[in-house]
Amino acid sequence: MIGGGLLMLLIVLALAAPIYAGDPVNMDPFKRLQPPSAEMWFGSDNLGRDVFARTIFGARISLMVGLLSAACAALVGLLIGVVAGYSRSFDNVVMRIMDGLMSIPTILLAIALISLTGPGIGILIVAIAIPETPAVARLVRSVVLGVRERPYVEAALCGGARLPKVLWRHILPSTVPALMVQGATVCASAILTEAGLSFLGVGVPPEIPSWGNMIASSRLYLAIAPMTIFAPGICLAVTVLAVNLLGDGLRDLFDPRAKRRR
Amino acid sequence: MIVGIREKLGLNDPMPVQFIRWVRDMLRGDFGTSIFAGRPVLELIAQRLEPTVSLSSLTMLVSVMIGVSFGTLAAWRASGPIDRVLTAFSALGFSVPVFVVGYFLVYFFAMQAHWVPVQGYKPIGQGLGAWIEHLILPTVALSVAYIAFIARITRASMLEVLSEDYMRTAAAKGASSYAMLFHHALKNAGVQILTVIGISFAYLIGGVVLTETVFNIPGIGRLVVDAINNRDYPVFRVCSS
Repeated sequence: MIGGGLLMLLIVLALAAPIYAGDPVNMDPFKRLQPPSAEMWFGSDNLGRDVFARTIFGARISLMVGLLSAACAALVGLLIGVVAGYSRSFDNVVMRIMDGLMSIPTILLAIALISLTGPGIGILIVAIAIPETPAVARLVRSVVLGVRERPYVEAALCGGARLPKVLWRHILPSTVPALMVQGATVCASAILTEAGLSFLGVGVPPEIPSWGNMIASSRLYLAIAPMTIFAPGICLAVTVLAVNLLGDGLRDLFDPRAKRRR
Repeated sequence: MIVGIREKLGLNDPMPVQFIRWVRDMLRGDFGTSIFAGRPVLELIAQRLEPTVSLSSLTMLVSVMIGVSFGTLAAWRASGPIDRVLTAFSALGFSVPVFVVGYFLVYFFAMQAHWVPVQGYKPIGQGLGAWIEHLILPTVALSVAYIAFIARITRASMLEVLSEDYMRTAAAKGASSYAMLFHHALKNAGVQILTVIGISFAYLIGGVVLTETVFNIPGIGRLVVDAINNRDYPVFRVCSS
């Protein structure tokens, strides 16, 4: 559960950013590419902006996009998975589409979706969520396929419960553990995708600081001011690590068998 | 002028006509012409194929070799110190984005130590040494996540195989631990490992795009990104499919 604690800490730090971090967009042409100092902990970038403030504010974007995309992907995937696990005709059509989506590299699919509308946070979240959805749908479907044959589901149906109610009360809860573990994985990968997209210049618009576009805009200055790249890079790695550890922790929690095997 | 360009690209025709023309051209082997470069898309791709193929095949080779041996090692001494270190490495390798690894490598090994060039690409035709020298850092950067992934899968499937009955039989008849690991276990675990490696190839391609940007390698990944930035739709369309 180190992962969960670390993640909570990061979220609190990110939410409290306006209180202590300073101004992330204020430019000071006379203090360009400064080394780290007491005034600016991580130095300044090529436009004289405070790298520490930008890194902290970048956490908000990364976490927000990561969590929201993961939530979208989990919700839509859950819906598709449950219905696909129960209806044969829907299953055949939709799961083939999901297989197709899965074969396209995440980043390329996201770029293609974003290029349809132009950059923005909303489309970014959707574009990251769509490539992640099939994995969730597949997992949920396999859980549902296993559960629908169980005696308690048959008993509920025989007892006269309607199908929607059976799905909601008896089948949905059994998908939750798997969904939470998968959700953490999806969240980690969504944060990485967001950073990758912003790094390529198609993600978060440049006026909003995000770890990806900070690294992209500082890449020419790696030799002079390495902190401009290392600070967001390390934060990115720590965040994704925290989410991944949380996922591993959840898996051990829900599936003690896996822990013994590990 | 705009009217002329619209006429030339056939944008005034109805949608179905445009679509049928596109499919017909593709079946004939004509994948369109780049709006930006004014050259056939296939020609552009052919020019850029070598760096991407070099990078991805080298990465595949390195990561499969290291990943499988790491995974086997970890499964052999499960929950021992080696296993702990390797599991920690694989959790970390999963979490660090490829471009961050790339810049760390560039800073320490190219800018500080001057062991290898900072960026760029030399075709294999200009000498094997220069080719390898330019590809070392990109390959390492791209491999880290992949090694972590393969090691994890290898370890899991090895552990599964090691708990089978026939492994106990092999141990009972006095097989050495080397023979047990490599003859009995790895061969059976290999099926599962290969399947996963195949599936995750799409994942590798996403990393190639980022790695090529970090190291300024003129490959297909760069072509796609440039095509997007220039709104060069014919190029993007072909590269994505």
